[in-house]
Amino acid sequence: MSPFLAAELGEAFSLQVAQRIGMLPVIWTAESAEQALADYATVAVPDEVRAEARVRQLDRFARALEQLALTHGSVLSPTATSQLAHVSARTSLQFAPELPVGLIYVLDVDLFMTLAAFARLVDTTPKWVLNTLRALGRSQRYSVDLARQLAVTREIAESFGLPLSTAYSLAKQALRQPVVAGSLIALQAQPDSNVELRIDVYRMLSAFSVRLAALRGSGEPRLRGRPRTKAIDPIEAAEAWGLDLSLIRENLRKTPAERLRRLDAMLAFATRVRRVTAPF
Amino acid sequence: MFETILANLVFRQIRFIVVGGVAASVHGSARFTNDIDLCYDTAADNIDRLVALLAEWHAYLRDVEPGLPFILDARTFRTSPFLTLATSMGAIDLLDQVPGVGAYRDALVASEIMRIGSVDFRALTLEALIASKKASRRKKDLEHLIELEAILKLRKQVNRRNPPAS
Repeated sequence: MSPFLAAELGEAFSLQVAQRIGMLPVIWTAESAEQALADYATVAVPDEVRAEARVRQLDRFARALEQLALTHGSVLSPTATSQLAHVSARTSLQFAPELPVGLIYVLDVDLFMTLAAFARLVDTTPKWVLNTLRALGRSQRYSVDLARQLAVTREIAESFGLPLSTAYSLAKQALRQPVVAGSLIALQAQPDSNVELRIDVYRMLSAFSVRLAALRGSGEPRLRGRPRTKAIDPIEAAEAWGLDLSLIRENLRKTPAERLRRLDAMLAFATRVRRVTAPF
Repeated sequence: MFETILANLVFRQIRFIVVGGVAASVHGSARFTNDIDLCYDTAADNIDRLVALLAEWHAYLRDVEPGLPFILDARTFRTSPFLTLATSMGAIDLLDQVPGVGAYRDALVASEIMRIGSVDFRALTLEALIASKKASRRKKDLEHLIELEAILKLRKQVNRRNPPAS
């Protein structure tokens, strides 16, 4: 976020005020500059620190991205990609939550999707995924589109008791047609059959969208290894981690209502800052 | 925003418990959160009321491309343990289970009543929040867990110095 220039403020400029609250537009135009500064320290500064961290690791990310581009169209192995890019497999994954939304999910879900995540998206078990892909002769490149096809295949196979290959071809047919909420798609189980299946593809895809949103929202890396068992004084641990305990002490002096209203004010401030600083 | 969400949920007699970042803030956490996490009662009448309110707030899935098929109804709630929604009131996450705590009834036992203005609502206790953060084992929760444990200790210290009136 760029600060105001003195000339931009014209007669409103005051050196004393500028020294006290700085020249950031969101602070300068806030109703309470002191409150806005406190919110800025809590909300925007961590965002800026993260952005800085991204820039500092850009060389590693650029190398990983280059290797990812080279694996296009073939079976993707995050481990092999990371070895070629000279970064750890986890390093590549760590970039994902810090990137702008459009890019995060291309990397996080489409390219780095694990078997477990893919199975969650299909709403089944990893074993079912492996067996089905083998039976259908499909590659094991886990993508959102393939997950969508398999999710519909699974629903059709289970609902109508059809073999996987038939259900898969019906799913492909169903997904080629435009889907409208509340209307069923009619499909023929066999080309020469009189039996017509009516499928609520929109409902199936809605359930898939819910799982996709949940996966993207909670696809955080999990901590590995055993949980900490050694008793550490929580206050010492917080100080060692670098947490500002004075903020917590100040919060504890407030009532729950005051704390919630403070959070509401920070959310309003964050929304304002992000609107101002959004690239597009 | 959060206050309005809570007031509306209470006004509509929806049974829910605030969990996650907002519950932590109400207990004294200094961390900022964008969304409110709610554990809801899965009884049919409660889900119907929740669906009606979310429809008024134009709820749609968060973090997905706009225009993907999405039906907001009781059936979706019954088949989806975790819904991440963007609404006109802000981001809302809905869970039928809290990791490390359990379903709504278990969360109810592990919750306490909070008052904001004239609105009473339930939020997970600090101890239960810590248990849920430990159970979720997400990296991003590690710092949060450290903070929550420090709050618990600080609160005990404050209570020892100034015991609450019985």
